This record gives sequence, C-alpha cells and structure tokens, in this order.
Amino acid sequence: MQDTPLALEVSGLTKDYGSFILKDVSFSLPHGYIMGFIGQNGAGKTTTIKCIMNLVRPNSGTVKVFGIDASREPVKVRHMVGYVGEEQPFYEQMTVGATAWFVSRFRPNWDDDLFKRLCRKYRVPLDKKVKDLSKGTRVKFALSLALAHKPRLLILDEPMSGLDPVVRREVVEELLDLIQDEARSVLLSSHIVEDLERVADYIALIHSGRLLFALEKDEVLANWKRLTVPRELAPRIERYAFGAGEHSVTPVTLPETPAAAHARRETVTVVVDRFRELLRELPGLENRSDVQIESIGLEEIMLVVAKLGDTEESRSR
Amino acid sequence: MLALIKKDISLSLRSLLQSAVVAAIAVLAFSRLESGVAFVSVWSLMIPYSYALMTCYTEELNNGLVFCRSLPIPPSMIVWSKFVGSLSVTLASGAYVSLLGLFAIRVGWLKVGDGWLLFRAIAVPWTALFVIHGILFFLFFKYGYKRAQSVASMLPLVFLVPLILPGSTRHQISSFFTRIFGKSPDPDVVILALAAFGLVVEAVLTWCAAEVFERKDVA
Repeated sequence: MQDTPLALEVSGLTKDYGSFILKDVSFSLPHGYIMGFIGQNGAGKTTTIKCIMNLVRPNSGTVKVFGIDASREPVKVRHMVGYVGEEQPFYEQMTVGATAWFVSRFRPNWDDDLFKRLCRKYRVPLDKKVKDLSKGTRVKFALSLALAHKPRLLILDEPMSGLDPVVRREVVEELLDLIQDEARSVLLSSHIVEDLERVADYIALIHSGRLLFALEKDEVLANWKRLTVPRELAPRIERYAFGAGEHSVTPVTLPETPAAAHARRETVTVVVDRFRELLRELPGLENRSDVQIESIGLEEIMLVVAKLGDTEESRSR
Repeated sequence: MLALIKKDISLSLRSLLQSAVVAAIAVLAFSRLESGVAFVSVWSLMIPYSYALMTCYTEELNNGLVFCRSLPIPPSMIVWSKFVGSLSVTLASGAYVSLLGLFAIRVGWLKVGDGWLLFRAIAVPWTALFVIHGILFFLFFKYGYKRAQSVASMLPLVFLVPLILPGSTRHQISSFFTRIFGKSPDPDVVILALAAFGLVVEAVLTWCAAEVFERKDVA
C-alpha cells in the first residue's frame, strides 16, 4: 500500500476565519480507496474540502491531487476531480441538458453517453429546468455531472444532506454502487456514518477544526473500545483513554454470601482509542472476567469526541 | 469562453428581448420629438447597461461563481467573459438602435442633419458606458452584486454632468485639442478616441477584477 500513488495529500492545512480556525489538517488518501470524512456540523469538513477544491484559499498548507499542487494548478486539478458540494449551486433557469452542455465544454473527458445513461438510470429528465428538480433528483443530477467525465478522484461533501429517509436510502444505494469502482478514489464527507462504515477503507475524524485521526477503518474500529474495568485497574487503563473515565458502582447480584453482601464493587467505564497498544501493556486483559470490552461504531466515536469537546469548552469558560 | 458568454446571454435572453422591444417603441414613438435623437442615444446604452447588471445579478442569485469555480475554468476567463460579452452586446445593441434610427429617418420621423449625427448619438455615451461596465465588474468580483449595483446605479447620473457645466466648456475643450494638435479636432475622431479610451479603462478595470477574483474565497 505504501507504493500506491496518493490520490490526495493534504499537509498542514490551516484556514483562519476568526471565529473558527481549521488548524494544521494533514492526511492522505491512496489511489483506489475510499475515505470517509466525519465530524459534527461545523467541525471543519466543508472548509477542508473547499480548500482542496481551491474555492477558499488556505492561510497555509498544501494540497496535492495526484502529485499536482492544487493552489498552483487548480484548473489541472479540477480536471481530475468530480465534485458534489453540499449546496450544489446551478443556474436554476437552465435545463438539465443545457447545464450538462455547459459543463461538457470544460471537460475534455466528458462522456455524453455515460451522462445520459446515468440520467436515465436516476430518472433525471434532461428537458426539465434545474429549479423544478426535487432535492433527491438534484443530488442525482449533481452526481451524474460529477461522474460523466470519469474523474480519478471523487469528492462528495454531504451529498445526502437534507434528503428524506426514503430518497436518502435510494441515493445512498446508487452512490455506494458507483463509488466502489476501484479505479476511482473517493473522499466522502458525511455525518451519517453507518453508510461510511459499510464502504470506507479509511476514516478521518475532524473536530473543532482539528483532525483527530486519519486511519484505516479497521484500525479505528479495532482501537476504539469501551472498557468497564475494576477501579484498581483504572489508572493503568486511563492512560489510553480518550477523555476522562466514568466511575460507576455495580451492586453485587443475588444470591450472595453475607460477606459478599457487604462488598461493593466499584468500576470505571472508559473509552480507549489505543486498545491495541493497551493490550501490549496488559496482554491478559481480554481474558479477565471482571473486564468488559465492547466494540463501538463510528457514530459513538463521534459522540464521545463531541462530548469531550463540550466538556473542554465548558471548562475553559 | 464562448460557452460562458453563451450561458450569460441565454440566461439574460428574455431581459434582452424585452429591452429590445421597449427600445424600438421608445425610439420610434419619440423620434418625432425635437430631442428624438436623444432616445437613440439613451437606448444604445440602456440595453448593454441593463445586460451587464443582469448577468452579475444572475451569478449572485444562483451562486454561479461557486459553480463555475468548481469546474476547470480559470477564474480570469470567468471575468473576461463578462467583458467580451458586454462588449458584444454593446456593439450589437448599437447596430440595432442604429437600424431603428435609420428607419425613423427613412420614414421622416427622425430629423437629423446627417447620418453621422446618429452615429455620434450612439458612440458618445459609449465612453461612459465602458467605464461604468469596468467599475461594475471590478466591484462585483471584489465585493459582490449588492455593492456593485448600488454604485453602478448611481453612475448614470454622470449624464447630468453636461447639463450643469457652463456652455463655454465645449469651446474650452476644443481650444485644448487645437493647442495640442495644431488644428480643430474632427469631432468623429474625438468621439472614437473617447470611446477607445473608455474601452481601455474598462479593460484595465477588468484585468484588476480578474486579479482580485483569482485570490478571492468564493464559498
């Protein structure tokens, strides 16, 4: 995998808006893989993507797409990228067909047959004005435009945002079908994570303008665990914890001996983000009966990160 | 660039056609007045002026600049397409209004000394029009439509300036040119030179707009 060329290489990306700062974001995406880019609303996902697309100029940092600097040769980069933004601006009075004609003038690799096939498949009418398209159809139209020139890198910024569950499921299934083409690299930003868990090879999590991690999905899921451990074990565990541990009291279950009836077991529940490293220090941990280890998904990871963020913010006030 | 211009014209087509109809009515209906040639003059610039405003408004309304910047289009091309498009509409509307004027002369409604007066009526305001276009595009690409429109809408007041200047001004300008060139300038040459000057100013302002837009955050 180390020899695989990089579809996307972001280094030290910083963008200062005053009230919000995207700080020192660095990650890379090897060609042919899918990266899920997750984070709360306002975390900095869209800002990062806009910097990649050169729609906003970062204060510092570099973005390279297949080795080409996006700030020095933005037009060359955009030839290789298919982009669907969160808001999908179009000229509302133009028809679908006229918009496609306009876009095709700037896309040497434009495949009109492919575009029409996609429109037929997604039931996007060519003669309809863009303003008359429903939200779901508009997303499918945007996807068709982004795919018709066969981009090497597809960047999707919350494409399912604002869709009702029925349309969202339809769009997601079609999208997942499309983006699993191994000849294409995909950066998919979303806060609806169950879809990313299905298809992403890599996960990048951003919070309050900072990238917390950008790792292979399997590594993320293998490292983030919820542990419930006896109190005496807590100091050794908490070094690997993401945030503070939560103390709780577990009553003894009946029937119990008189001696045990007076005993109270105190446990600590922590979420760790370096479980594999923890296992190297405590190799028998998985076999202990007094230790509970639960796998947690991406959504819960986001919740933990968000909660920690809220805690730190209230502390700083 | 042709695709950008075609896109702008197709989105403004209804407005252009409406302006053309109103221009025809205004020029023909009022050509019998003593100041009938003034209507020719006004409409030779109203059509391109409203077109330039309309294209900027359409971009603002549709977030068109974000859309275009997400495509492999050099930002400078987006800016220069406005320049070329507005110049094309200016020349086309000048030709159109000239035809209306010539028709009015032919049927005896418009009484002008000679055909060249019609030409001067059309070409004279072009100097101001080109400068207005340049300022409009610069302000639009730097600050957005709202500020550009509020400034640009005040600029036609420039046409009131000759009314407040004393009558001797024209004589003073003529004397100035006589001192430089050693003879009284041909009015048509002066008009063309002024129009060319206006076009150069518009081109310089457009170049500045392109430089600014290249560096601007659009989203």
